[in-house]
Amino acid sequence: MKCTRRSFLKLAGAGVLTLTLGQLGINIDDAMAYAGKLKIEGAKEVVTICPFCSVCCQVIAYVRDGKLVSTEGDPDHPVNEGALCAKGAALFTMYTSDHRLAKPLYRAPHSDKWEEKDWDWTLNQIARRVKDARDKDMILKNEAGQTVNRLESIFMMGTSHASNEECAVIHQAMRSLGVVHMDHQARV
Amino acid sequence: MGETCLTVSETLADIAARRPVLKPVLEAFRPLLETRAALRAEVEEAVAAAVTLPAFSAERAAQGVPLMAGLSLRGLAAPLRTAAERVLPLLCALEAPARYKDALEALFVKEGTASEQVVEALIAGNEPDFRRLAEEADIQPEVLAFALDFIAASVLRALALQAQPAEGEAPWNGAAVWTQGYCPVCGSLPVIATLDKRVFDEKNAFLAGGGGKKRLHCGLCATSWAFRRSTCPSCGKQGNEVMEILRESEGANGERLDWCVHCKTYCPTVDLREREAVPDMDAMALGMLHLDMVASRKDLQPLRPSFWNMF
Repeated sequence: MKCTRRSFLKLAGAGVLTLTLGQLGINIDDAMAYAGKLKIEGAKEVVTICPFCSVCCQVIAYVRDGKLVSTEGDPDHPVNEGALCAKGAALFTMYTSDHRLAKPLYRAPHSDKWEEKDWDWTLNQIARRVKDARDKDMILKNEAGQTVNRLESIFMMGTSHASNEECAVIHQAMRSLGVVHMDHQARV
Repeated sequence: MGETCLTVSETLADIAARRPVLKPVLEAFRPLLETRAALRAEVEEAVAAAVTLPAFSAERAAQGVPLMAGLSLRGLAAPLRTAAERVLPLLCALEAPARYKDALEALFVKEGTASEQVVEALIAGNEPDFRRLAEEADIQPEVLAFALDFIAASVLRALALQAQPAEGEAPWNGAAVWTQGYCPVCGSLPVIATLDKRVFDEKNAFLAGGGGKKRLHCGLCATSWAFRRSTCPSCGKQGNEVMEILRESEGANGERLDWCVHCKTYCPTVDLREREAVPDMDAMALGMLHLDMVASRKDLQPLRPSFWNMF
């Protein structure tokens, strides 16, 4: 007998020939009323990648009305098979934690208070300080008189939140400034 | 430490304790579910003497062909008779089958091979043959299909045991061996799914979670097989915008519906990470009919229409 996927779904699969509970003499009025009162919530399962390190564990994110409601390791991903490290397991709190900074905060030298600043002010401050540090500390030649053009007073800590492309741009930017001390959050 | 598995009656008692309103339905089918569960071991020897399942072939599996495809079931009349003698008195206590009591007995209990042909037609998905055989036996096709859910299923479950390894994962659960949403042994669509419990790995004790692997459960031969979470077992669509879940806001106890936004088909799913013991899957499928009712209101179709999920 020739067997195809479709033929399997006809009877054994789709079970088109089915009695109902009513035809079997079972009264389901109460159960129907009960089901009608249940408070039901839905969520979409979205597969994404844990942002914390280069292992690239896959995560299933539950999303309801455009908002993240929970996360778990993806059991179908060969890298992590559903498991997550402590940081990955706490991924959801990165989204919901009250401690997460949503705006730049600045603490002036000798102050004990944090002030809220806007992004323009913050970015200008960073640029100003990078420029000042580079102008002050740039090493053009070493003791042997060889050209080195390096800056040792700035350290760059990379982040897993950056994509490969962003990391490439950040790396080139740091090299162009002469920064030689770089590392990555996932490694330390 | 091995996980605790509940029997049919323990599972039904647990559901009835949490949802007393379902108790009349659960009690109506408890004897049938218990008998089917017990029959598998009782007919295993007779089934093994009559029919041998072919060895699992990864090549056939890759083409989506289940083990029982094209298999001759000649010789199963005797175990089918044994099963029918136990099941029919319980079955005929229900309204629709009661009207066909004599015809069902004639088909399954009398000497002959008609019962084998009916089961072959069921397994092959040959609807014209199935309807013809039902007509010849003077039984309404829907009633015959319902009877087979208990009589044939008892025997096919014993047959499917031949494909199960003594220990470890079944061969169809190897990486990308069986990727279909229907059963790798008999070809039926699943009635329920589970998400695996968490696994503690001593070598990687700092890792959290694990588990959550989806397994589909066949209502006919009781085989379970691994399936991707992000894929619809009905239409085969895969991706981020495919599967959604529905569950109770409170006290869901791991019970949910996984449904496909493309084909609007759903499969009840039990997240075992939210449960102490592993329930009996057939009893659990029946015991989630309140969610089937919710799905029906939302115009979703059950992956495998059954007597408890059609309204």
